[in-house]
Amino acid sequence: MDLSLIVTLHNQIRTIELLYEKISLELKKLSLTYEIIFIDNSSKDGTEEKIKMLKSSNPNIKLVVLSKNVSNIEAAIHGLNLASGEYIVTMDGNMDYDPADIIRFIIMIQSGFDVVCGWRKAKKTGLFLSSLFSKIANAIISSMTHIKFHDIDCPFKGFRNSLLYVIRAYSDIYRFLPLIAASKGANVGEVEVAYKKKVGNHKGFNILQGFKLLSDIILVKILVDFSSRPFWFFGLLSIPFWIIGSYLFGIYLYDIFSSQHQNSIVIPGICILYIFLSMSINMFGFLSELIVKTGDLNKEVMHDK
Amino acid sequence: MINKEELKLSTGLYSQGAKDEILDISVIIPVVEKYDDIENLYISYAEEFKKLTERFEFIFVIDGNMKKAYAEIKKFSHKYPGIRIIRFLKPLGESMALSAGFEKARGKYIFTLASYFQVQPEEIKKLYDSLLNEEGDIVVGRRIRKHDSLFNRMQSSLFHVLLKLFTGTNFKDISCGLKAMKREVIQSFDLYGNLHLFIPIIAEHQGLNVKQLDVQQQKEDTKLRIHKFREYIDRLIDIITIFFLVRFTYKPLRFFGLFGSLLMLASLIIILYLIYHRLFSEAFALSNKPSLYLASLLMVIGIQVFAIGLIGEIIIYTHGKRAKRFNVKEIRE
Repeated sequence: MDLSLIVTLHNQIRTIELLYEKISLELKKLSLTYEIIFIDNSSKDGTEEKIKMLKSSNPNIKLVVLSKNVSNIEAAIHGLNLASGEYIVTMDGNMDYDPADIIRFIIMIQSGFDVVCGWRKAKKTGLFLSSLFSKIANAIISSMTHIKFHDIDCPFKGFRNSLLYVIRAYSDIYRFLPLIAASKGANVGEVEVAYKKKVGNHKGFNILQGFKLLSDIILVKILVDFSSRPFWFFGLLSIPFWIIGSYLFGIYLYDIFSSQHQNSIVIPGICILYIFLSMSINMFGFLSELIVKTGDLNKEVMHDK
Repeated sequence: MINKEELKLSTGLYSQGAKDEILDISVIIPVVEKYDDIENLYISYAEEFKKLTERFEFIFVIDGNMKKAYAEIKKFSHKYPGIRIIRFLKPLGESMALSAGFEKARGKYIFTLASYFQVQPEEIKKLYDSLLNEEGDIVVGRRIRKHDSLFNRMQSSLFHVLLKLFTGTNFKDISCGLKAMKREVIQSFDLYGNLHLFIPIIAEHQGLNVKQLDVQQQKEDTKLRIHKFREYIDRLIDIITIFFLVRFTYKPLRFFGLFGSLLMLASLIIILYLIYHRLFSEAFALSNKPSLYLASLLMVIGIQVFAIGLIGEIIIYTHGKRAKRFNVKEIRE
């Protein structure tokens, strides 16, 4: 099979048929073998039944029904497990996205990219503070990859299936799949997609989201950098405290042998605290080295293209 | 946690009944600590189950230290059809007993019961009907404590207030032994320790539909229950365990990172204050300021907490594929 299209849906009973028509029209143009995996993200309005109806007319439709409403990102993960196509494209099933963009992803993948992330150029960024957050986030992102991602959060993504096995997607990490893939040597790219959210509904990019994005990116950065060499990472973290500890120890020694002996408990106390801290951080490093060694992380190597 | 091999070694010492036959209902009764006249208990419940269906089985799971109960059950088990016994070689606790029962159960629907008189047997029909009507994947009983003794009610409501505080759950009688569930859902729990207490919460966390039904309490259950002091402490620790399990298993750094950062922030504020005074006030010596000690201590704890969160995150990251998630209701290929 050539293409697996993963579409997440939440309460889309009114638009699902229209969407399906549009998608199948586009897919016909492509003349590829395909499957459509609909993820019903615990809809309450009977979207599930509607998809089952569609399924009876088209055997290429697969359906996953979730019993709990989760984020779009998590919902898409459930589709990845089923996908058997060579190319995988994930998209949000609300009508903000245009199925005509699917072909752009396929062309990108065919031309050698492993992961292609959508970019909603029409989406406006919000206030100054949130754009500050996203600027920092983008700086971190571009330090991890050779290209600049404009819109890492875009649910419209495409990638090569053989890559899947290198990536572990758990909870929110999936949204940073392009970053993790890039850190493992994949060829990542970006493509513009159409985006038409109603103007009245537009909330922009609020501060809380910006902060969450930033903290998540820092987490991914740490995880990616650090999971390959945790002992080194914790070692680095402990260096400043080793320095503070030994400096204080020096002061204490100097104090003992100096003429005006102060007899203070504070300096040696703090000295002991910091030395204790740096030792325990080194222990943590050792511990996580063990954890990483016993995990299946080191089995991850890039596939041949 | 005890692994599956160990469980297999210690279970299934004695079991009887036809093999691989699909039944309507499996009733699991873990006999772990306290038990009443178990033959009468069996008779009164079996009568009610007979009204629902002919094809049901009772599975008694007997913990290693319950030798007397084992002798009693073995004695009457020959008189009635459809009784199976699983006996542990050593005491493993109620969670393992339930897991073993789940593993051996052959019914389409699974009921669990307490090994003492707790809920009126007639109430079983209510739960069964609710399951058949697809009202929930799991139906749990909630005892109406109209006739319960005051002390029982007080300690139970205190426990549930604490539980609600930590987990935000709305279950009002989590320790009720009467639960009914579909067969498909039993694989979503990995029960160990005292987690059997929190089956409804874990189930809800896994995305299952849990329904709570009022049931009548039996007279024997209204007697005053004063537990050992140790057990009250245990329950407190259990609540904290489930709190962490439900909230932070998949994102440890969110919690520990935030907590650790707050501690570090507090430490930084103190340090900045001290530096300010050291630079701009005269005769201000740091060596006799205990607040410097406090600041350092906060910094040490903050970094440790943060590092622990990071280790938690790395465990989930490297072993995350094996972590169970059961949000999927249905797959059609």
